[in-house]
Amino acid sequence: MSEVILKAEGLVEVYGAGTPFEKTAVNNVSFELYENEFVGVIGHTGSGKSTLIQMLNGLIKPTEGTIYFRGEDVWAKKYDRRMLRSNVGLVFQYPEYQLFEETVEKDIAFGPRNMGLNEEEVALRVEQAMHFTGLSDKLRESSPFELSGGQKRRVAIAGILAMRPRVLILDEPTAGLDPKGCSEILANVREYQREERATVVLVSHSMEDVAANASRVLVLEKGNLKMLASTQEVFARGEELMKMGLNIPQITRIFLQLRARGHENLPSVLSPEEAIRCLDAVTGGGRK
Amino acid sequence: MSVIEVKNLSFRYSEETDFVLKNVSLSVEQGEFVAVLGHNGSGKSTLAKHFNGICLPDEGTVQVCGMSVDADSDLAAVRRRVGMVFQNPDNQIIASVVEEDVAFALENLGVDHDEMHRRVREALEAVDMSYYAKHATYKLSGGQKQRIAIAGILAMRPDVLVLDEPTAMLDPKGRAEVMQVLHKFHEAGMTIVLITHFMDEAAQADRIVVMNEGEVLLEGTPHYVFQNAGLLWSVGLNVPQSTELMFLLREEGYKVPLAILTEEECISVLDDLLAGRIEREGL
Repeated sequence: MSEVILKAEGLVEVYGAGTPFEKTAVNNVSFELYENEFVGVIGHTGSGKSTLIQMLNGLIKPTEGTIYFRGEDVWAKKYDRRMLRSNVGLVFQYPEYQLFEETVEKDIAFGPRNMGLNEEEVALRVEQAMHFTGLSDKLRESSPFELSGGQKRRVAIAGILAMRPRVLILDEPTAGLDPKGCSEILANVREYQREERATVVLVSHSMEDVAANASRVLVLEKGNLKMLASTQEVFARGEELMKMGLNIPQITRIFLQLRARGHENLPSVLSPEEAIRCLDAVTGGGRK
Repeated sequence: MSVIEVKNLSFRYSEETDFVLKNVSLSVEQGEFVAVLGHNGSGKSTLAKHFNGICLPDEGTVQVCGMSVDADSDLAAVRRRVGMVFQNPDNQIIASVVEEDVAFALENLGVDHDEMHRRVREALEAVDMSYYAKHATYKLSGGQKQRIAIAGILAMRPDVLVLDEPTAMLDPKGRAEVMQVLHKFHEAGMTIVLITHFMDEAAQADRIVVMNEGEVLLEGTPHYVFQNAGLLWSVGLNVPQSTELMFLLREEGYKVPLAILTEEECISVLDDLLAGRIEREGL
């Protein structure tokens, strides 16, 4: 197993403590994230996903509990939380609304330049980030505001990648994009994860995207950590997920219902490709 | 009777740019629920903007409820008949109280006070938001805001409701709420045009029109359209996983029907397959 990169210990976040609006957004959540893994985070709107991920890079200070990055308590005195935010990169929902520079190049360079890197290194990182997000070199001098929605999204993600985070957290990175745009961006993220051996945390409402990309899945409900296990195991508990008001991939749901109809020898599946392999095996296949 | 009739429509945003719509012809019947599918940049939103005169044709004609939509038309009259709902709920809410927001267009139209109250009440009821009439708009969820935006259009009593990716920014619950409201209107006889790139939403329509590069690529019932999975994939669109599974089974030689859309249909085919009731080639 790879090494633990980020550890959440007993995280609690209470908003408006002591007021009539007091709300516990995250309730005693503990888990560990490893290097070079892809974790999906699922949960209803209001389940505490956004609060949780903002705690992971020190944007929100937990009411109780703490975060350890590479074994160090990020809320210890004198801990450099500024550095933490380049190590744990957070891509917010609709990040394209945060673009502000005159050119694509300057916008992507903003993060690395703020880290105090020299211009040569900044230029290199911008180039690599553009490559990772599939942005053509020709767009370097373009205004980010003239680009299409999908391209703007890529520029915003590139701005985070240019800081070369060890942990990359993305909140609904494909919301509002068409199917092709979605799969391209997720493929880019996977490539970054592989090449940098980085950790990726993907928050998504699309169970198909989570099933196709994540190796582990974390399930939140009303601020509580309900499940954290391999993608297979989590989606095999489809009925529990559906009770929480969460979806599961259509193909997983279909197989679940077939099992309920007496085909108990069928396993839980995550993709149509996997479904075919199982059906082949169950019907005796007939080909090698 | 068709309520929208588009003939040989071509359009570009400026003379220096390429045509976004190229010779598009299309008609929408009274009471029909039509979904327009296409990837970003396929021209589907631009097409929708012709239905109530936000864009005017460069070539060809657009007729709506018997009125032609061009530079000489009474566009205010067209817009009373064809209401439009957009993607971002936050951009469409104007007032700070729900019922005032729904009444906004009616006030502009000079509808009398009692009538206005009646229409607002009915519109909120139609989108299941009566309970929130006196609530602050900023506190609503995305799905609720989008239903308020729909109610505001509904209060004008349009004949046609055109929605441009109304669920793109919503969570699954919000999406389901909006789709439920659309089905309710459709059953009540309203004409609905839904622009979307969610395949599962398009699958719920009477008819799907697939746009690609400014042209109509494919059109027909959801069963017909999704049978052309290869073509849809080639233009960057998806099919439901149930349909994809049937394609993969066909490739493996199983003689399964391709026109499979819903989970129930898929389950019944797989049931047959597992019971050995489906033939396989090459065995």
